[in-house]
Amino acid sequence: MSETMKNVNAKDPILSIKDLSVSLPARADRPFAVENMSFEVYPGEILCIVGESGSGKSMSSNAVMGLLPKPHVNIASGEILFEGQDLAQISDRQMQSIRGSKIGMIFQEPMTALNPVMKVNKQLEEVFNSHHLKLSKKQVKAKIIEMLDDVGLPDPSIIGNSYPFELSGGQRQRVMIAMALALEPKLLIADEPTTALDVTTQAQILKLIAQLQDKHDMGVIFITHDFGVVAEIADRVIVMQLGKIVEQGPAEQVLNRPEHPYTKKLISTVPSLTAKKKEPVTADVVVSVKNLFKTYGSGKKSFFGAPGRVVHAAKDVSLEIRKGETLGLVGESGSGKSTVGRCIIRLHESDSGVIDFHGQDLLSLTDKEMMPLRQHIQMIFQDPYASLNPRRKIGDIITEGPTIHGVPKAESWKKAEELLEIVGLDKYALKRYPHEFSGGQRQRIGIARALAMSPKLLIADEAVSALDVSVQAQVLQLLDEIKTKMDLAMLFVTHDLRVAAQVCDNIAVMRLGEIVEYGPTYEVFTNPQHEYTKSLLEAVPGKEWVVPELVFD
Amino acid sequence: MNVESSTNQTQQSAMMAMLASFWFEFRQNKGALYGLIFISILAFIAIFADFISPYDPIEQYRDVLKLPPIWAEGGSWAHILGTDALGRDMLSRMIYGSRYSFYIGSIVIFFCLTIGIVLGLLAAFNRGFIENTIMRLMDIILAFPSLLMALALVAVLGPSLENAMIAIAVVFIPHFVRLTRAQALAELGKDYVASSRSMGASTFRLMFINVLPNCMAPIIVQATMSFSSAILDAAALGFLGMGAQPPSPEWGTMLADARQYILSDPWMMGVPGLAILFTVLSINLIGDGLRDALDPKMKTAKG
Repeated sequence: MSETMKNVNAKDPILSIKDLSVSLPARADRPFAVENMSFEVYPGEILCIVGESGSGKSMSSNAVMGLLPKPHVNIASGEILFEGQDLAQISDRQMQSIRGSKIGMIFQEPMTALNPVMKVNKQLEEVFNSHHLKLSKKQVKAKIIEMLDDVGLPDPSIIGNSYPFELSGGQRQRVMIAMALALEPKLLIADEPTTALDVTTQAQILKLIAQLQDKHDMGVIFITHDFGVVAEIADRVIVMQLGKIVEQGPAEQVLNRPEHPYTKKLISTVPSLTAKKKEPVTADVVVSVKNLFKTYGSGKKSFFGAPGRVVHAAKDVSLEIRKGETLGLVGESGSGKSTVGRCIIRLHESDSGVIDFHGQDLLSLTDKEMMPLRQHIQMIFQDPYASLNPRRKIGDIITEGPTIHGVPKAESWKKAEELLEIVGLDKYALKRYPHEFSGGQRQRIGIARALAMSPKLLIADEAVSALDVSVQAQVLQLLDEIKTKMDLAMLFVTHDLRVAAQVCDNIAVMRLGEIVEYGPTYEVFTNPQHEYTKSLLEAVPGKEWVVPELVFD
Repeated sequence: MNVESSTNQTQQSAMMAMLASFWFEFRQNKGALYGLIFISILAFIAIFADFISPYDPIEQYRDVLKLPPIWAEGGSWAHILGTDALGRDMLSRMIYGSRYSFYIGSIVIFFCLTIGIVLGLLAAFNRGFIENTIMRLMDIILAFPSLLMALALVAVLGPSLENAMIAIAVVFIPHFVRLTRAQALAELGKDYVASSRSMGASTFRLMFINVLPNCMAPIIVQATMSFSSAILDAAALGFLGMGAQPPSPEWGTMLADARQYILSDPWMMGVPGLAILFTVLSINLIGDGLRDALDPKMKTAKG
């Protein structure tokens, strides 16, 4: 890496940004989205811009592309020099000819970034047509096949003839990359291009971007919130906080010897991939699931004769959780991990199997018999924005459960106050509405709501996946404290192996509804048995980077 | 004590802030503002009709038949808007007629809201047989031209204002059922509902405490728009002799009474006709404003 660094600096920068400030509308929480930002991008390097949500990292790239949401957000001052032209000054028309042909861009959501009613071929054709390249139809066709081949898509002619919905997320992202690179731009801006993808797909896409960057000698600006990804592909790193660059330098230096306190804080909250050896939990079993089956869809033919589709969300799933134990249920999207959690709490009805909770089979109970048991099993949800009713006050939300189970109002409100204190919120929050809180605060409220029922089993369904890494660390710590204090059993559903390594006592790895590997976390991480587990661990971005032990001054 | 009062204050100020932002959004739409002013004046007239109206609306002044309004030749200050073919004071009839409009609108909307919301929620919460039965029934009602359907219903029930209102409500209910069901289905997929369920909340609680408040914004907009349609349909039924019966001073019935004089004395139709036009227009404008303020999803793009 150090060798390429030298080469890089010998050349002139492709893009150089000087003192760029982007102003926000008057009612925003700060005057500038990006303030006095200066940096360069050299050919043949990957520059990562990393920061938490709201740090202005996407705004800076949108400013380069001329994609700011005008008229509310404007470039207030500064220069964006690209090939001797100041992009901050040129007209929209001039910008259009640069966009796509000289600067390419990839977005986070491959589904929304592609036109859903247009075949892939057509969309790629548009790229050529909109830049008036005077290529014949034949040439364009050949070019498209070459491009699709370039991004590693099998059977380019078949893929080209498909609609976006017929492709998987990874394939879509490859098409996006092909589109962005169609006209061989000198600069590629990738805005969180792998955030919506599964970890194995993410690894492939990251590799692809690095390969193509090398092949075409492009400069790449890669925007991400994930330090693992940074460690995987970055040559240089820029760390942003509240619209300002707080640190920039070579990747190796920023990741291992960060200087700015904010960078230090961010890096110290990245969960390490190495699991600690823990004492096995030997307390009583709280819940044991035996041979759980659950399918979606039906085998029946539909009214018009189309064959039904069956998805096995849970296939012969067996697991048990003891008091004080955290069992991690990991897997990629569609592996059925959330379904298992929801079957245990009976939000979904299972097809067959036994869920033994303190000697009672939950699946054989009627809704009425289940009712008194509901308070013992509680759930924390992924999306802190959808999991709180926007029209009810926090107090009503937290006390809803106890109220249903007949606890007098005064008593449950008093308890809600205590719970808010436990999760680190002010008791005045009780009288406010969810929209007044941040994502992390809402997740704390969700935890308080679950605890209001004094549960014995807590199911955390991707409970920290939607949160920024520093907030994530706080919420994980809170969960851990609560678990120890209340001696809870916890089912921790997640796709993030780093988090699982830190939190869980035992791990169950799921694929296509089946548990393929099940054992103590330390064993699973150091000595994976199943091929799939190995490939998952292999795909974790930045796996070779050991998160440094940092000293705060 | 301090704590208590300060939380109350923050709560009050939060409410005030919400109202203020609603009013700010609503005010952006000038048409809605004018509509609101017109309807407020009309509501005032309807409430205080007994004090404002110069004459009794059904008393006949035989000596001044078909008197033209004040601005036409031969008009008289005694009857500002003139008199109809039976010598009844038009202004008084118009003033009392506004009462009918509000009466019709409110009652129809009340039935639509209660029945429509309940059926819509039932359909959303009971996928399968109950949902199919309710929704197909609604589809059948929607398959008829609405006025024709209302006419047929009144023909069966017998012509009177009350029956006309029932008929109009029946015709409008499917819109509310569909809207409520669609909204409720969208909300049912969200995790806050799953959370309540996992706590053991009853279906009733889920429906009315958790889901319904989150569906209200578009339903309120629909209710406002239907309010004006109800007035219009009632007028149409009145005009066809199937709504309010003479001598009640309902605007649609007044149109019907004046029909044969449309060539000789056009103001007799013009006055109630314009009143209906402006009332319906104002309510629709208010509905647009409400939509902008309450339901940003349905906002039309501004060119």
